[in-house]
Amino acid sequence: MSKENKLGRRDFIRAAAAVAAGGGAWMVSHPNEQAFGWQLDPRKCQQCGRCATSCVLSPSAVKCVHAFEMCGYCDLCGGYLQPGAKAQDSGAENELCPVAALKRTYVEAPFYQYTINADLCIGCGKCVKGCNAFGNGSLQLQVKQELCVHCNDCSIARDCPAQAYQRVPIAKAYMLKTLEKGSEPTK
Amino acid sequence: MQQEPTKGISGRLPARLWAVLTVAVVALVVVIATTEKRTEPGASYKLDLKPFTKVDDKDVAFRQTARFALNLDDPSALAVADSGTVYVAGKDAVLLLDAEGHETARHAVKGTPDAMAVAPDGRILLGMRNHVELLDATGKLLAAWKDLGERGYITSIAANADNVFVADAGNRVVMRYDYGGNVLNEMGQRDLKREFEGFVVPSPYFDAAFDQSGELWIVNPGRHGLENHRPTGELVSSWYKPGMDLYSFCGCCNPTHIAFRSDGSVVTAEKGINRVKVYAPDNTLIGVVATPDDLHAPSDENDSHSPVKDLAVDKKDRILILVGPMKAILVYEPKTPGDRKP
Amino acid sequence: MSSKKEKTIPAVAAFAVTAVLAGVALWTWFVHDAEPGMNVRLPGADGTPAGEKGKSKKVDLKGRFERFDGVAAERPGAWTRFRGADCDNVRKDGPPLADAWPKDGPPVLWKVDLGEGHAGPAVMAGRVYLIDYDEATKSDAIRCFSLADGKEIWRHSYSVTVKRNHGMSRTVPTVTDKCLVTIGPRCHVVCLDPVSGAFRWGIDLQRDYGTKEPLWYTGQCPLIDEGKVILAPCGPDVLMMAVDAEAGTPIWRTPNKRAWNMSHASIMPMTIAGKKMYVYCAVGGVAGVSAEAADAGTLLWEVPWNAKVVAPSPVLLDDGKILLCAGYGEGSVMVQVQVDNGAFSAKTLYKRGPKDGITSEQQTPIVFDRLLYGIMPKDAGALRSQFVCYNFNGDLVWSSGQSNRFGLGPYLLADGKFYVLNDEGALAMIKVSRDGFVPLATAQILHGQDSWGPMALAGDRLLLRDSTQMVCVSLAAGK
Repeated sequence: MSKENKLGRRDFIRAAAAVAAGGGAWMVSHPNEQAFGWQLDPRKCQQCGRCATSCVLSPSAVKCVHAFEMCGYCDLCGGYLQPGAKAQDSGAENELCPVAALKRTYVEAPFYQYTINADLCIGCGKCVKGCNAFGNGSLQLQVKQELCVHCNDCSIARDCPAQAYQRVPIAKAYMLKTLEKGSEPTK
Repeated sequence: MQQEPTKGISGRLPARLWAVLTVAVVALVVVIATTEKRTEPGASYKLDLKPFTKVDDKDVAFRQTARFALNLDDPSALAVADSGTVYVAGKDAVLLLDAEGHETARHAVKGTPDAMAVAPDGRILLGMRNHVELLDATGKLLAAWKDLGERGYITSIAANADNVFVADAGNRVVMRYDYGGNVLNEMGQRDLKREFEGFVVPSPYFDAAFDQSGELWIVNPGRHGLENHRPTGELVSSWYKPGMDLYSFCGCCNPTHIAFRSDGSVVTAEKGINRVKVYAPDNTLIGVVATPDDLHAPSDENDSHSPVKDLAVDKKDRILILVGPMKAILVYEPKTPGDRKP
Repeated sequence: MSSKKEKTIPAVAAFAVTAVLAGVALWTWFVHDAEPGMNVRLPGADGTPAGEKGKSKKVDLKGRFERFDGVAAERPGAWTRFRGADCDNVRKDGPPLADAWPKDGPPVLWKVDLGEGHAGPAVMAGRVYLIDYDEATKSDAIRCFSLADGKEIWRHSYSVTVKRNHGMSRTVPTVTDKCLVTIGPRCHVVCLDPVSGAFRWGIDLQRDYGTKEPLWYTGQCPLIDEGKVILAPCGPDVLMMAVDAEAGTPIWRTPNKRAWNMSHASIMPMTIAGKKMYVYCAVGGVAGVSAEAADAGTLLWEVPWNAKVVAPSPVLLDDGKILLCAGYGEGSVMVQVQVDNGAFSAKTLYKRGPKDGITSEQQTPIVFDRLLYGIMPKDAGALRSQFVCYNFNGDLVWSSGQSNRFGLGPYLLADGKFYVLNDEGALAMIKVSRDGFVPLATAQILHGQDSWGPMALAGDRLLLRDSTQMVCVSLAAGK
């Protein structure tokens, strides 16, 4: 074998690393049914606040998401307003969200649409708790898969007192409660 | 005389200690920079509803005087007939109780009624999700009325001698029927001329009841109050009390249920903060009937469903609260002065 | 320099440099983690339209004036205030009234459409006055009609938002030859010239006196007595007050020491033990205030009563006994006012439930010839909605029976006959009798709903209304 054709040990390691890195990148960018990630089950979630503090990311990869089909578009929204708010308006002193991530927009009397600014949301779940207690539970916490770094041992899952975290197929990574037919809240 | 130079702080501490301090500062920075997480979220990131569930004893105006245990699964609706008989609906059955809570009869039904009323002549009206079933006084099915469509969700029925008013939370209307099952009119259409913008029903809680004068009152839960409508639907009067305090109706949509006492006061049940209260005819709070603790539901913050499935007032003016998880009717009467704690 | 000092200086320098670097590092870390910008979050950022949740504006009571082509009638007869000139709903003199009606009832002379409500008219010098609510312009409208044909003569309006709550309007104006005074649903008092309609003065009882608006808006009808307008604002400081009728300036004020609130009842002038006084039943209790010049405005006596909703006005019986009525299970209270060496006092003689004695939910019973007449409320048991007669001892003399029930509508007495309007607009004529219920005739006059507004009888013309229409009926004898 000529010296030109001979693959040196260093070249071999470089090539192997390139293949490994390329494969890894492809796998990350092309998840399949067998790829799994972390998600929390809103039905088990207790809104303890640890999603905001236990994640390795800051701010957390857990965000509040809104299942609009469940929302009552209420004026007196338990997820938006402080429980003892003196006025039902957008004044900072009346808002429940500590980071002003939950916005509302007037639709028509007496309806408001609620949206979440994910850039501001820290995943504390304060609004989720208010919505669950007084509303329909349309505000829910979820691990945003595009933010999650997919730790093998999720630090939030380790701290979650409700064991709400579980591994789910990346292709079906979200576990929102919805108003599927037959699953409406009962009287 | 040569003066001894004053020793600065640098001269009082040995070099070794300075080195230790330097290392300590570096370590502190590293610790702070790498430990940006707190083990517990701060108070501003938590929502504590417990203070709102506490009720001062001076605000409690009623006391529990009886508890009727029910041999019935999924108790779901309650009514008191003109005869004084208490009717309770649940899974596959309607129970008839006497004034002491003893079961006197049981009618088999198919399914779990979401709402129930008893006509003055003893006929029974059941809300079976999206349609009404009419039973005779012996429990025999007389008719199943035309359904209210896929969205129909009957949460309340109020019946007098001529009319049956059916609250449909799914379609946000109250339908007025005759006893033949014919729709006489539909209530809830927006009437801007009379500044009525319709019923706001964010969740399946939507009640209707007659007051002591026979006037029809319908809860507008999204507006946190009660509205008096004519049988033809026109809004006559209304009162709303949105808010979290004891004097108001909390949450997105309350009250969940209402019933009237003979003096015109109205009994209300709320979810979110699970409680039962009574308001005077001038809409001021008379007092609390059942606290969240009484209902064994102090603050189930992960469940927006009400443990109170229905309310009624019996012929002795007692307040009957149907509590689903307890499988029981709690009976309340006004406190007497001796009942109040000092 | 010692070697010890030589070692210390570099160590201190190293510490100082490290401390500075640490400070810079931490500052950088904090800055990096902080939010780049701050937003001020204010009410209204959610796009809620202005006025949706705003406070009510100051009302300009000078308002707007419109003139129409109606002309005052040349007719005798007046009904100058709530319950008539003597505040008793009894017409003492006037032309005889028909004892029987034609088959179709007494002739309806004219009709006028009104905004939804229960305000009754006052009549003077051929003019009919009524405070209406105009939903189109969102205004209280003080309207003057001709008694002859119902044509509108003029109208004074001021903008105020009133949302439907068992209708909007409720009160009866009071009129003298110099002043017409009204109180609107939201506690606005206005005085006009009764002929020209020119604005004289106005008072906003809520803004100026802290009045708490009653449950179903203002029911208190104003009273003009000896050139003074007598009002019961029941604000934090003033229970009752007198205002110069022409100037609108306060004359006297009675403190509201018990913090009572305005009810739906009206002030009744009474004379007890030779002393003229104004008696008002507020939410909280009933009080008598001197109406005599020497001590005008002085609180003479008071009795607490905890009825939550009070609509009927106090009724004077005899020997200083005053009957108070209320609906919603309250029944009635008999108050005894007494005087001892010129000092007045009062006490509750007894309370009776709605099944145990005469009471009323909305209208005020009539006293005539030492008997009490009225319509019982719906919670009166067997007597529910019956026309009844009681003696002053509280004993039932007679009732109209199960087949003759009425409602919350008004009734008055004239020429030996009661005129009673039921909820559905049927007018009944009942002979005044100590012995029993003697119906003379019934006619369906109105065809709307809730015919609850007080009636007015000017001469032989009866004015009555339902929730949206006022009609004038001739009760003249021999037609």
